[in-house]
Amino acid sequence: MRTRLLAIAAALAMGFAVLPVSAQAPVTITWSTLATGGPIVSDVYRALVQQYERQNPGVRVNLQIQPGTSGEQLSRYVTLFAAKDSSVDLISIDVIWPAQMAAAGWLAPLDQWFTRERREEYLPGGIRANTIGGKIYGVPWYADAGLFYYRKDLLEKHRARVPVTWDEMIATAQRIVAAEANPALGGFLFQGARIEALANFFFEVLWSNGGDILDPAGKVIVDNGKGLEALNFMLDLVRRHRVTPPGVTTLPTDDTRAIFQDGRFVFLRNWTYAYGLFQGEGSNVVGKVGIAPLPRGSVGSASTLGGWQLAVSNFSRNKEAAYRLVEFLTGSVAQKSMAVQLSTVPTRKDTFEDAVVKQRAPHYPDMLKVVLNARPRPQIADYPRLSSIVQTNLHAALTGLVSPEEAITRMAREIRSLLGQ
Amino acid sequence: MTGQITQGELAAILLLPCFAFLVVFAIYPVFNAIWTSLHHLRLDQPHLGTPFVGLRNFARAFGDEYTWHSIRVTLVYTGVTVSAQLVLGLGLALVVNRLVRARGFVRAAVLLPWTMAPVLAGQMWRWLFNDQAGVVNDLLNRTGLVQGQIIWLGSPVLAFFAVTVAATWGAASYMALILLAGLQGIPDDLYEAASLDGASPLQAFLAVTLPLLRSAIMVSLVLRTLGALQALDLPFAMTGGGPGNATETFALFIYKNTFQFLDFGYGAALSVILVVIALGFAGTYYRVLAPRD
Repeated sequence: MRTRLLAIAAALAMGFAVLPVSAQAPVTITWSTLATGGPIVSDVYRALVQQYERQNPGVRVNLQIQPGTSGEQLSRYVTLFAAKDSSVDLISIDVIWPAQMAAAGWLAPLDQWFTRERREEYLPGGIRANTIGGKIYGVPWYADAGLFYYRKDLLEKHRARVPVTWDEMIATAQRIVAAEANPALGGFLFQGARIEALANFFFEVLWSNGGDILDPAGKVIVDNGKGLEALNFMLDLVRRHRVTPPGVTTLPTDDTRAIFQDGRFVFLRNWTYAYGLFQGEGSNVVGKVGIAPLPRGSVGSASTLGGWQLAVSNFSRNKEAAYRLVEFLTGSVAQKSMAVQLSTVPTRKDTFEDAVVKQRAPHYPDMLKVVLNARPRPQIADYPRLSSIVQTNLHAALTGLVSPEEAITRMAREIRSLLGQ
Repeated sequence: MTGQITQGELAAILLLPCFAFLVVFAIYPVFNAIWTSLHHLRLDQPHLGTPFVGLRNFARAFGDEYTWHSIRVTLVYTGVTVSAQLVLGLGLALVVNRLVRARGFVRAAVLLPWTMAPVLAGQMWRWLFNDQAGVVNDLLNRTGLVQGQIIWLGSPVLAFFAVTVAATWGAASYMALILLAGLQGIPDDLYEAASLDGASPLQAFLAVTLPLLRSAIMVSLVLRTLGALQALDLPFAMTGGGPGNATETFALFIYKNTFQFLDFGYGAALSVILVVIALGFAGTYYRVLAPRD
């Protein structure tokens, strides 16, 4: 018995002796991120991580790549953070999450590292989105906005110009689809599944007609007639003009990207990430896709501001090391690499000026114009619930569950009750 | 090492781990949920703390039309899937029970759908019912029953139907397994006696099989009903509750409020309501179906 105790004591002593050594062993940073667009995108992330590891021999990065939609990713993080899980150090967050996540105390404030001078290097919109109550909780990683994609080759073949208004878009789509006489070719695709992007497309149509969900004072005005007009427009795309297939109500973001990439539509509303994939491996539309601002309504063209940020978990045990990786991923080298390989829109001012980026990505001036003019979604703390109300009622109308009038009336009533109006 | 422990003490000691498990994983969570349901607890509003709000969360639940909608969806879903599972499961059990050869193999094969994780099964069915690339539409078109693409998951009634088909496929085999165990407990001489009395196979089924299966049916009904009342994974994976909220079950509604809107107090109140509904079902089954002396 005594010898066994001794052996245990000896083993413990050895363990303590080893500890200082293990403290010098590599720090492991776990970075969890959505990779919308699949393997092409995740390969670029992996290469960046390897580059960072080579430059920093003391650090290892455990990259966790998740599929799915932004909403699904949010559910994963909520589950993770509600359990105060410290296994993830660094996360990529959607532009609409910082307020909610910072309020819950899940994100580490980055002010001590991400100083005011450094913030000057970024476009101001991204910095604003990450500043909550005077503190900064994320570093803008790439910017995003709703874009209008069109098939250059088909427009040229049928001598059509890039549509500037929604009516022109419908007419052009109908004309090209009829002339092509290809049953597999459709007119226009948007994200019609009950997801965030459905609400965003509705905002875009609504804004382009001069409407909004809330007025500048925060009062609900979606039922002032403009909301119904926007919803009827979406319904008409399917029912009256038949440029959009009824099955659109089941299509989330990346499915619409894949179908357009297959060459099966003339026009598409999607985010900026799709552009790089259209030019990539396995695409049927390489060199055939152009981008433009979304068509104009009665008032003008409008686009939803999107974008992704990198943020450090407040439960991380290696916050500073995690921030150093953020610094690398949002720095000039990484931004340039992502811009050239994935066509993501940089958040750093110097990347836009970079000669290589300018040469390799001639479409950036077009994209930048859209991104700089993009509008933020209704800015209330409980945005997720507002978005859910909008999504559910739109989807109910698009799938024929309720009339458009009823959908808008209910949407307005529920948002009023949410905001206590 | 001194003295003998009594049988009662031994029983207590042996039951202790099981009891401890229940306390940690069943009793504590239930009381925690009840406590939470009486408080305001929103993770995205930590500055509000967790004040006691009495029954306000419950009042809100009963005044919320979406609560009633999702309860209705859940009840219809439970009624449809559990009865379909019972009929299909009983059929499967009767067939497997008759098999002479390859019984073990067939029994294992029948159980296969039940072993698949519901979220995986949901993804699989989502693709089968996909309007553009789905097998269901392809088969319907090839056999000439339908022309064109049916948008299964984009229409309220069809989406609900698709989800119930997937649920029935997943759990009928589980039902069959329990019923098969019950069938094998029925002695053969009862059937011999029945046939000597001149009973037709149908009469033997009604007079011998069904009454003796009563407890197996009760067990499988209770288990599947409780499972269906909590249905979250399958609709979550197939439709996300859509289109609109046509397939938003009560469990999905609870999930949405708790984990998407971070309203844990309200979510807990809804969960307590679900527990009460489930207890109501279990009690009714027990009264109606439990074997009487």
